[in-house]
Amino acid sequence: MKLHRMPFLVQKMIIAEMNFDDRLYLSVTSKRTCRLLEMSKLDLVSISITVYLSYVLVRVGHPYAHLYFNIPFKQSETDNGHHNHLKIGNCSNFQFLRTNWDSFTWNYEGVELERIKNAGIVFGKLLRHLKTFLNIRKPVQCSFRTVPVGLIPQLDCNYVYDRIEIRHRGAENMTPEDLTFLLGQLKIKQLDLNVKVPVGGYKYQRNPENKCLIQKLIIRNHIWVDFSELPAAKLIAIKKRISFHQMNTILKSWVAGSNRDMEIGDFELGKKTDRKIIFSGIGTHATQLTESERETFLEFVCPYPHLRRGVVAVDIIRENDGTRATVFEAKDVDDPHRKMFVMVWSEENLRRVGRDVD
Amino acid sequence: MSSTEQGTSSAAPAEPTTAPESAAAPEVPESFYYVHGKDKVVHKVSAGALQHSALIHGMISNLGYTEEQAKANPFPFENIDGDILQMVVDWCNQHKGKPTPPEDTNLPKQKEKLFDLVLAVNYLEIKELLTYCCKQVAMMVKGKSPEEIREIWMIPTDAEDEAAEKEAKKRAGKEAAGETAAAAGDAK
Repeated sequence: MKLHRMPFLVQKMIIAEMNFDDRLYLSVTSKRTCRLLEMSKLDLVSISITVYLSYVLVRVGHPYAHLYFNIPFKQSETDNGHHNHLKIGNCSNFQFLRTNWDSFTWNYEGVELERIKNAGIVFGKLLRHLKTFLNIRKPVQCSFRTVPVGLIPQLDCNYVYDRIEIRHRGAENMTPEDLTFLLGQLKIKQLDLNVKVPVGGYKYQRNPENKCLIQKLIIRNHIWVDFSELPAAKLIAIKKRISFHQMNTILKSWVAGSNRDMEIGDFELGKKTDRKIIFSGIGTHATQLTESERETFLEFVCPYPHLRRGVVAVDIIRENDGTRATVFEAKDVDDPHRKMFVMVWSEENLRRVGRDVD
Repeated sequence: MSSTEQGTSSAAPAEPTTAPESAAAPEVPESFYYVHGKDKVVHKVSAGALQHSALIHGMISNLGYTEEQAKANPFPFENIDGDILQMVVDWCNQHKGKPTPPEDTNLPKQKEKLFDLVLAVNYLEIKELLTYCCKQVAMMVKGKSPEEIREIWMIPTDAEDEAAEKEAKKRAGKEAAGETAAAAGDAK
């Protein structure tokens, strides 16, 4: 029986009767078969990618089944000792979970596996392959226990990532290239970063031509952050204490027209605040937000009521277009640490606080 | 209800035998039509059974044949093997006027027969039977490895596909060159 000799309608009907894992197995038989599967894609419920210390686990979810792809790798130092490179382990196959671990040889399109120096290539190929016969409409989740070099650029720019977390106990090393790709190329709803860049004096420079693709960016180690030009994100939360001067740089740059993508800022200050330093060189005005609007905004950014006491709010105005932002200084009653929130008067934020913008 | 006999496609077939009428037969006599496949064996099938086939149903509803005319003009399906057509006719008769069950266990298990049946059923536009057949075909590879799937469904490798494509291009090129030469010869 030759599948490819069947009329197209019949092929489609046969594929419609096939399970998720059978389609996957069929998809690797040939490119032509893959193209056939592409015409009747299956909807996915979820996809998650977890990078462990020695393997990448891709979990693909469907209403009736889950499949796990395990790509083992080894990290090894390169000659110059700066980077870790990935090598696929002894297993030259992908592994799939049906009832037991099962494996088969992947069609590598002529790429000799032995010569692949980077498991990221295989990882990228897997993601691209899944996309050929699956509708990945639902958000993708990624979690990194380590950041192997070359893996992040393989993440598909066409996906919408619900959450990417790179937050192990300590800050993970990341190359400037990977960081640039992550912050500038991927559509991410929430990016949680605890990384450092082991290049002396490195500061991330955003490409001004790149659109803002990140909804919420949480930075847990800001050694690589240029405070005068923050990474493009609508909500930026820096969870490590920043100095008053750095806070001043953020606000001053915003007033001067930088950090334009930021609509909400959430920053940790020290035990004390020095408003003179924070607002040095910045014109401040009495806030035009009502008390209830302020309360609504703070409820949104800070779910803990004890942190919303003793709030001081002032407005600042961007020079070139007159856009207003309200800066909140909040203090925990029990904890001496202070926080600073910035609410830019964007349409979305004004709607959020209940103001009619039409 | 069906019967078969050896006959020719164009000549009037010999009187086919019919199965005994059931006790609950309708008062109005049912009309019958005749079909034959590659082997020229004529099958007598009731109009009710033929309703399963959108193709034949469309044909007979426009013809308005009398019994004699129908007998004299069996529908020829030269692209369908006799045994496959027999299977189709049997299935149509078994499911005449009945709701179709969710599964059909009587379909052939041999893959070549099933392949031919799928093609015939698709051609005759018998939707329910086609759905059963496609389920059966899909079941053939359930739980199988990619290599087993390749073997069962005779899926060529990428290299084989590429070679076939090259060969087809080469052949098409040769044919085009031949046609050009012939046209030039005619012009002279």
